[in-house]
Amino acid sequence: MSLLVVNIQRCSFYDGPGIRATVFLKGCSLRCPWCSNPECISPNPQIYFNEEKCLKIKGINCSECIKSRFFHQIKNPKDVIKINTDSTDILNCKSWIKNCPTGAIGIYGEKFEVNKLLRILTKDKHFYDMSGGGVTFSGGEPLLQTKGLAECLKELKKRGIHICIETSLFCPPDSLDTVKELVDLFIIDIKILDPKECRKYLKGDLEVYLKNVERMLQSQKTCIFRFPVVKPFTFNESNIKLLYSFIKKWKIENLEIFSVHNLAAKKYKSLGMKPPYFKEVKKEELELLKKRFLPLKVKVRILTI
Amino acid sequence: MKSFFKKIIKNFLKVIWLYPLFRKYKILLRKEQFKNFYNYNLIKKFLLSLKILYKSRIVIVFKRKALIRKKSILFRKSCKKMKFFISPDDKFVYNIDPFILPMYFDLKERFIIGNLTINYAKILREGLVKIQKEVIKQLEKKEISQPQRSFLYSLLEVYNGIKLLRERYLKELTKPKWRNNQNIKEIYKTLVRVPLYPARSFREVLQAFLFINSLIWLDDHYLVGLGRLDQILYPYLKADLTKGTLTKKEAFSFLKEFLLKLHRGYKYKSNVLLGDTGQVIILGGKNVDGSDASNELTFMIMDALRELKLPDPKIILRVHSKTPDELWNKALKCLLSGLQYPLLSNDEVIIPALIKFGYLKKDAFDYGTSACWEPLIPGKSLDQNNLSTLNFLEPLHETIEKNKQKNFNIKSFDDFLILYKENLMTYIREKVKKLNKIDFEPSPLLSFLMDDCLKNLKDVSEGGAKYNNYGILSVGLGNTVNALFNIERIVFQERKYSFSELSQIIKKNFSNSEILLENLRNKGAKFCMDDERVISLVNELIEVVFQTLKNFNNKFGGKFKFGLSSPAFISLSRNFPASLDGRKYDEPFGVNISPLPFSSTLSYTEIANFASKINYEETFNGAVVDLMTERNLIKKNKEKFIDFLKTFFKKGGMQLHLNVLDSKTLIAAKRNPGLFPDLTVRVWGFCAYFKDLPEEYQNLVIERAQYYESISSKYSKM
Repeated sequence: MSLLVVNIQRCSFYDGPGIRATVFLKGCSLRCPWCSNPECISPNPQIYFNEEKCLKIKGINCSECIKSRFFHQIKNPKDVIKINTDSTDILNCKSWIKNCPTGAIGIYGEKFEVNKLLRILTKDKHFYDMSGGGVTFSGGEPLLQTKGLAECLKELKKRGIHICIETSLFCPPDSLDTVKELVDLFIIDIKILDPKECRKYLKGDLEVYLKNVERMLQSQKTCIFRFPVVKPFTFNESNIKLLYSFIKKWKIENLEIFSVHNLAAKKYKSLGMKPPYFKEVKKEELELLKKRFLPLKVKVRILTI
Repeated sequence: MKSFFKKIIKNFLKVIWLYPLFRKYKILLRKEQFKNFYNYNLIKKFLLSLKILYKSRIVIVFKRKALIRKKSILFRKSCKKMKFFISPDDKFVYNIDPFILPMYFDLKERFIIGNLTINYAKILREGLVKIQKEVIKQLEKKEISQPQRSFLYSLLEVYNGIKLLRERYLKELTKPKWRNNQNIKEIYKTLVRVPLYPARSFREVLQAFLFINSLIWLDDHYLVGLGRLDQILYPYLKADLTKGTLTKKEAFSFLKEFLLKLHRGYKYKSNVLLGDTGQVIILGGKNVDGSDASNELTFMIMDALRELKLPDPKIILRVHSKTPDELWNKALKCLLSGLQYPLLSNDEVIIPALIKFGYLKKDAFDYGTSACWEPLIPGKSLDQNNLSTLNFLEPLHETIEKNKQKNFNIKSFDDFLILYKENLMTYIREKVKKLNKIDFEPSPLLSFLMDDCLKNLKDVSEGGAKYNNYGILSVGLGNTVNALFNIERIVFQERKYSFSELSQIIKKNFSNSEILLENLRNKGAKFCMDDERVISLVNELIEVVFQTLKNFNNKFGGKFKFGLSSPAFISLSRNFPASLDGRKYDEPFGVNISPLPFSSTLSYTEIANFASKINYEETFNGAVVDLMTERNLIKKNKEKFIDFLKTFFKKGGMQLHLNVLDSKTLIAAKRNPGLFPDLTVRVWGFCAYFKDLPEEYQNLVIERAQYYESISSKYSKM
């Protein structure tokens, strides 16, 4: 079994308790306008082009990518992102993508056999053990690759490694069931809680989400909820009110809130997409938001990068 | 041609007695205008010379005597002539007078001993009078030879010099103008007692320490270490606190004053760059019974330095499996304050390595370091740990040059590696041969203060100390490892280049080969990856150096140690040709154990995993992992970061230092030095004000900071 991985970030201090390795899986069921991992949205490998690194654009006579026979239609390195990437194409591409001396052209999404992934993830086991850390699966939506994921989680479990999953819970209920017992900690997003708006902005079916939340909370798993604060999508009066009643209804204990950022601009550009711009929500506003939840029992933490 | 004239002038100066004087004078001239010196024009230099000449005092010996006797007389005379300054608010007296120009006749080229630490603990406990009595006892023996007698007389001369200086101080302190000053009276009381007699209180021990330390600077030694300060001073503090003669608050203010005094003469104490003083305070550590050695004073010293915000003196913290959590926290607090120390040194790795090398167990547990981080035994080691620097790239280039005609003879990378190793061995042998020609300048003062010279009746320059090993450092290991992997790929696997082509490319400094340059920088296995092949290649090369050095002894019968860190990553890279790791002509080599700035970003755990698998038993003469982090990253994740450090050391890492910086501040500070007067960075074994660094060092720090920022950011920046 294998997993389609975009990036493995070792020594992460942010995605859960202790020192962690975070695996970013490819493919997502939502289309959040503020997405900070645009390279993880499509379920297929994608070719990217990073202008800053390209020698040709710097004026050096490099034609390692254009030389390739497979892509005679390319006249400019920039065009690589236009290549339609169904999986058969990508295999052919790999050989010439390797030729790019600077890594300006590359592929988002690499198939990792579970064993290969495990070899990398277990390298830092001493660090996990000392700090109470482990492995976090993020994405994209990691629960869309449950088959490979479950196998990987089983192996990690065997080795006594703490497992955390960052999920939006917009996923088929049975894929949640396959992995639920193997996971030690779920970090669950709360985004837009109005069904119409959810469909409109996120392209997601809120009903699926709510059902999954119910199943999760009934199963007594440790969960942390995360709320991205974005104006105007999630940070508006009606959504905050919905959030309030949501927390109250499900007696949620842990909530983390954070402002979105614009650090993903380069990644958007590398895929030929226009980066969205959002004004960061100020710390004072987050503090005010935190205060609104005071009447409830929930512990609110403000995350900063 | 230029060097030929230099040689003639040098010899001429020697014949007319002026060489030592000239040497010192040149040093003073450089130190007076530390940073800008080389930019000065002739007139400015001339005026500066006059200024120094005006300030200076010449001491001279005419007598025809053994050099060691001359040196001792010079020391006595320096004590007599040394200028000192006492201010009414002083709690201690401590003066550095660099403007003494010694003049004597000596035709031989000699190496001044420095970069070591004396055994303060013993001297402070026993007092100098005891040593003097031992000298007299030795003199009464009948069987001693003439040179030995002359050595002993020199020691007495030194003692007389120290006594003379003390008397001068006492005389000054009893002057009528100080009649109503309580501080001065207290100093007077302490100086009556110390350093001649054993110290009895915390105040006395601090004064005695300062007094003896200032003598070593007066005698023109450089990089004077301070030793395990918390161990040396704590017994006195504890006694005072239990007796109730001193409160903790008073002790703390004494300590601050003491450290502030040690900072005095910052410019003149500096060696290669401003701040490179060698004043290292060793704290914490493991006791022989496995317990932790840290005490109240360990914490007090860290707090005091943090409050004083001084880059110098600086701290090396010895950590081990039982280092208490409070101490880890304190160390991190110190780092977060921007002082860029303590450097962390792992007793669990170093002590066994020292014992295996041949140091006695008791001594190994008491290890301190040279000016940077190379272990030695305070008071017992002459160990010149930074005598020479290997450049791993030199034999590599030689191998390529030698084989550019007979490419076809080398069939595989393994064959090439064998050739490289052979060249490396020859290169090391030549270095060692040169080292054994070194003669050290006699130092009766150090012999007087070091442990075994008196017992052995030998000056420290002749191997009088207990341990007389030589240390060699190295640069370019990372560059060489990356270059070797590149050679394997482009020459033997892809078969795209021959050695003669590569030799041309190196000579042309990659001009018109940008594609290859990027390829070399970005592709393949790289130094500091926790990849089995990288680790085994690194350990193989270390093994070659270790096995080669094992066959040699120095002229004292001491052995050669070898380490992976060196201050020379810039100085040796000047004018050094481009290398096949993608480093261009004149660009700096890799810094200590750290990824090269243009290789792909590696995580902290990856670097730590790599570094903990290095075979330190064979390369313990300093091996520092050199990391940088953004302040925010640590500040928000203190516990996680301490866990990271603990795991690294538990896994077998040897030493680590950390620059807590961010590149934005550095760039702003480079542009506007005035706005960041106390921005401190760690350069090698020392911390210095960023504004004081030469531009190339500033650039390197900025470049490296940017590299590490791409590691530590949460979101990949591509």
